[in-house]
Amino acid sequence: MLEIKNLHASIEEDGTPILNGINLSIKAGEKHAIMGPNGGGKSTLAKVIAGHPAFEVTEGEILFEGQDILEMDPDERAHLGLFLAFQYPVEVPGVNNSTFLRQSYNAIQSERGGEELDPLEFDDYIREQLKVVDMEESFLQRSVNTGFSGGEKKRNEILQMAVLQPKLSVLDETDSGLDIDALQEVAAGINKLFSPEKALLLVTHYQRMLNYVEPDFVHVLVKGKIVKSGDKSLALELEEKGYDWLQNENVHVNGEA
Amino acid sequence: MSDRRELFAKQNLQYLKTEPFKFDYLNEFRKEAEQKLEDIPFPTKRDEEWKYLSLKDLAKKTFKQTDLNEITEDKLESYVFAEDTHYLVFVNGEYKKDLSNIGDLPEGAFVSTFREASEKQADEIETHLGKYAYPDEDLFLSLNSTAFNDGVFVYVPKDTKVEKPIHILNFTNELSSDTLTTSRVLVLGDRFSKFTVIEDFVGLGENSYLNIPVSEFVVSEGSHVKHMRIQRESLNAYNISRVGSHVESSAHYDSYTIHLGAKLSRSDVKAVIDGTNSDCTLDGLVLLNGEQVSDTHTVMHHKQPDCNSHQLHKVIVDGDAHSIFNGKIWVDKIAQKTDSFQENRNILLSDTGTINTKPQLEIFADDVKCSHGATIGQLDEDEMFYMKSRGLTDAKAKELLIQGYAWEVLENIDLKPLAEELQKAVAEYSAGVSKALAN
Repeated sequence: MLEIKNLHASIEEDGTPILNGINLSIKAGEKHAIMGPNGGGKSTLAKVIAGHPAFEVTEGEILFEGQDILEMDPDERAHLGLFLAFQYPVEVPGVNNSTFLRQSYNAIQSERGGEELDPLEFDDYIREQLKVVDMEESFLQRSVNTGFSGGEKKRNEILQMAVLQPKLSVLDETDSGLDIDALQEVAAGINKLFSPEKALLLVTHYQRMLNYVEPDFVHVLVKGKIVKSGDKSLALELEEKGYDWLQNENVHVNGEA
Repeated sequence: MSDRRELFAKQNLQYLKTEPFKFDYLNEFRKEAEQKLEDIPFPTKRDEEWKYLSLKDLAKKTFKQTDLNEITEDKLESYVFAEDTHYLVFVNGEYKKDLSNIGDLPEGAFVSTFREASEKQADEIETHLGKYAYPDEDLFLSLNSTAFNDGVFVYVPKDTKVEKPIHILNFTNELSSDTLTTSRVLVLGDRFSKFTVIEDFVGLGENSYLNIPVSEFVVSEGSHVKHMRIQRESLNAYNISRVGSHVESSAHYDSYTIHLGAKLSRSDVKAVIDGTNSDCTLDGLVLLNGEQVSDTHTVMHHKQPDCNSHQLHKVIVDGDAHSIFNGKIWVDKIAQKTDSFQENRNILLSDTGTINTKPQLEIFADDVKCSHGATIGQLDEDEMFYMKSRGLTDAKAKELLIQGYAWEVLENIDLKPLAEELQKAVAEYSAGVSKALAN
């Protein structure tokens, strides 16, 4: 579903290189985790996949279902079925959550040739999705993320994922700021939304999220490169040993699963 | 300076029909203002207070009063909230009693036009009128004081709360052009009273006209007064307004001014905090497009210690539009422990728009907290990315972010249906922006 080949990216503004040759292949039905120390490029990778304009791809390619997406705007990527759950979801005061979600949903549906929903139909649809993340209906009438607690914001991201039904979801540090209860609920939502025709890329610093959403593959990203790949036992090993033992390791393990 | 400009006031006055008031002092008040008017020159860009705003265009025009003050009730529909307000309708400055409904007010409170005021009310008007809006050498203030034909007087007695907002609607209809309107408002909130006044300026056509409103507010000890001004004039109109507010001890005065319309708008808002432990807000929202020009001058004068003030002035400029903000904070020597905040946030959407912003702090006390800031930028890149990553187009993302930006000011409007109407107007503005993008 997703092929990343020799991806190099730098900060648009000053040219600082962040990603230095990433190779990664994700197939439908797979869950991948990207782990690594802070500053290693995890979040940048997530943003580059989604098309954040602050980063410039200087080399390599990203194929989504065989299609080169590097020249596409973030909205076009979303139309193809790509979704990024943000580490820091943006507050949009004055824009009702439900209206925002309906406009997003309809924008994607219309691009995919699906059926758009009017406000009443959407109301029924979204009530079903609320159950997935166990959210109160009152969430819908609030402004997007405005005044939400950290946990509420993360949950709102998963609600958006439930509503938009993406093929590939990239979850950027979705576990950060969540207590154990919230983490379990959010993880349960993520698992419920998964199916064999979908794929997941979890970006996380800690292993704890992976206790609940079990990855098929774990990759370690250090200094903009995947330095080691393995199965979920690698995550446990990292939890125990930390990242230091990999920092200076000069081996390059190709991230292809 | 051309003679034409010197003659502006004179030229305009000769077309004004000022009916005598039954209260003599009002007639005197006008006469006195007229005498001073002779010596007031037409403002030019050489005057510090008018540095960035050109009135050349205005100087060439002559305005008059009109008899075509009709309005059909259906036109009022989306502006009047009959159930939720005490409302007064003016058309081209003429009071429309049959279209208004002041309704029931708490005992001792009253809302009246100057012409319908009782003797007792007239005494209060006499005591306060003209005391808070200054300087006298302002041409448009003096023109208003010379030519106002009526006005609204609001009085809320001690310990009294008026639940519903008092909504003053100033329509200019589409039946004649080059009309001159001189709206005048005087509001007295007695000790520990609580109420909201909304001044609304609505243009029903596309015609050119001039409105020079003046409002004065007395916010007595312990009272809570909210003051909204909504300027949605015709896009060919001129609106040059002045507010003078006098805030006493432990009082709260919150003023929100929203500029959506007019070809040229100038708004002078001055709040004098003359008591301790008071809170004062002067916030604004300005959305401009095309050739619109809008100039806001605020003065926050701290005359006593231990008061807080807040000024957030939010602006969006698109097309060839031009926004000016000049925010003064004065802190007198005895006004220790003043906590004063001022921020002017500007979003510039086009390459051809202009923004001038100037904070001015004059602080004579040594134990104060005063912050000020001005930013000019685009819509936030991360916010845009967030919206677009959810499948929304560039244009749609901009639309929603503009609505969100405006909401921070609009959400302060107690009258929910009005806030919704204005949110619709903001949506129209933002749709206009995204339409221009597509072209």
